[in-house]
Amino acid sequence: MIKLKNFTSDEIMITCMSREIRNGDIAIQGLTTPMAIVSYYLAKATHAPQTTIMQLAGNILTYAKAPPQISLLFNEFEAMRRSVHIGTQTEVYEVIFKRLESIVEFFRPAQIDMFGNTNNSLIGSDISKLRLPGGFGIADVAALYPRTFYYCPRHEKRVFVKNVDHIGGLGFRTKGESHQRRDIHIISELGVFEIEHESRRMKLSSIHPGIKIEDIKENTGFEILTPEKIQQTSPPTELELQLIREKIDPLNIRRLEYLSGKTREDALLNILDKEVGLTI
Amino acid sequence: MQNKVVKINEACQTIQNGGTVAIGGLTIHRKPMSFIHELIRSGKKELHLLTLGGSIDVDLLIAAGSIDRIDAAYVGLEILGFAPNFRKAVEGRLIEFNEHTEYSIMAGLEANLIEAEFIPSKLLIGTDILKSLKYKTFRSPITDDLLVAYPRICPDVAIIHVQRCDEYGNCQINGINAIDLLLAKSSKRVIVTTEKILPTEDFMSVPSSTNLPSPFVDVVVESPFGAHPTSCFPHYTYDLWHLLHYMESSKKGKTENYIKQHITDFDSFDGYLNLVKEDVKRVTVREP
Repeated sequence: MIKLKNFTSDEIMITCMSREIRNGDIAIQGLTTPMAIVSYYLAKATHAPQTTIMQLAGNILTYAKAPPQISLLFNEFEAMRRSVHIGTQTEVYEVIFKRLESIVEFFRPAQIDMFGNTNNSLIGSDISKLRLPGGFGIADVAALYPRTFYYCPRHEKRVFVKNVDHIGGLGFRTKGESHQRRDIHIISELGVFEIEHESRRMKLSSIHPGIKIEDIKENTGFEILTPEKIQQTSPPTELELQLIREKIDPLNIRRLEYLSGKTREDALLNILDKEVGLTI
Repeated sequence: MQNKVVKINEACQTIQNGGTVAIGGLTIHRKPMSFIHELIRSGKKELHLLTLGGSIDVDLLIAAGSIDRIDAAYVGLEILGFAPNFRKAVEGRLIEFNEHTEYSIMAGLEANLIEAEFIPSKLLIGTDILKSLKYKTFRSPITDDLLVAYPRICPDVAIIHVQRCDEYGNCQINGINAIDLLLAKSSKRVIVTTEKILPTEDFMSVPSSTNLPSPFVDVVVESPFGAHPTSCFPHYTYDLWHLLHYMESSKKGKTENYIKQHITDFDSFDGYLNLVKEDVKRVTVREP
């Protein structure tokens, strides 16, 4: 997590994610993605009040009036409190197939390459592989959505790789097998990127305030295309920051996405201590 | 109508070594943990496991040496991190792991429902997941488009934990559903473990809440807190403290100790519940 001016990288990322949601969209939350749910609530509390949210892998259809506070321990309980319908995983896919144009879903890849392919399966060569938990539904729908969104809290060379080790979410390959026109957007701690249609390669859309182009180049495992005039990402407004910090996620659950190992465990236990006494 | 209630060990005896066992719930939500304990206690071997998203359920069965093969779209402990024994066993090639997606599992089960050899779809074309699954592609006889044949998946038995059901197996699943209804419909036999068995009359005022009806259910086992340390809405949430403790002991290569102290030292799940009663109390919201 990087401190940028009067906000941090998680906050500008969430703001960027939120701004991709159009009023009336259907936002789906997959597994383990607190930053995604914070961005959905933020959109709902600002420019997109008519967003429909499907939580817990899309099973639970919720409507929140005031921006609700997210929970780590009582995630399902909180969603159920606001639910109008409980579906099944089959039904989630039926909604996706029917409403492709309106779906927003933020995926977090373990690897993403210059053509927008992503990997959540395994890292490494045939001989030595690191097994990841798996991509769940990413590979099913990444190539279907007219707008596919990825978010990368850590912009590092091991995440932004030239070619992914195993293709899950399909991007555009060099040979251009997929001619279907679709947009792939990537939001990282350093900037916002897209896969350019002409070159089918990753290009910088905007750079976060306080970040230098060298920071991006040094932390990306391939040559990233840059426009002639580099745009700066609009910073979060006072209202957006207030909603994130005070209303939606005062316990900083979103920041768990930046942590690993012992640091994450300590942060987790700290949050759990604060939540255990809550009345549900 | 037939009373389907049996004890958990009787239900477990019907599981054949080498059989395909489907596990309900999703990751750390509503996993049939008391039945997982019973499978380990009774020393089942060479099971083929199928689950949409696994966590401690899969990880424990791997550590106990009960599984040969696993088919799943995800195995991990969500925000807590990797499933330690799953990762070690797959990286060390001690078990076979077929990485699915949500759709590849659902399509396979749907194919079985309609007694088709496969279901055709364009999904996953171009991905390495499809290559690893070794699923075949073919040309559509109608449009000549390339299609994937998603072969039927037919579990021998599904184990599903529910909040409430009657003695005939009319079940009301609450909270996240995942693919449990589809699993129940597509599996040859269905064993339901339930927080509570209620009189059938109690269901007559809320029939629309009965989302898994008795014709799909073969066996009913009463098992309060049977999903701990995973969640069972609205009774208890997932026990992240206990799951962290499990991961800690597993990272040190001591899952064997965990299994002995929490499972095989006892002759039933009651022993476990007594051992972790303070943990259970902490995550209980409403008694079953």
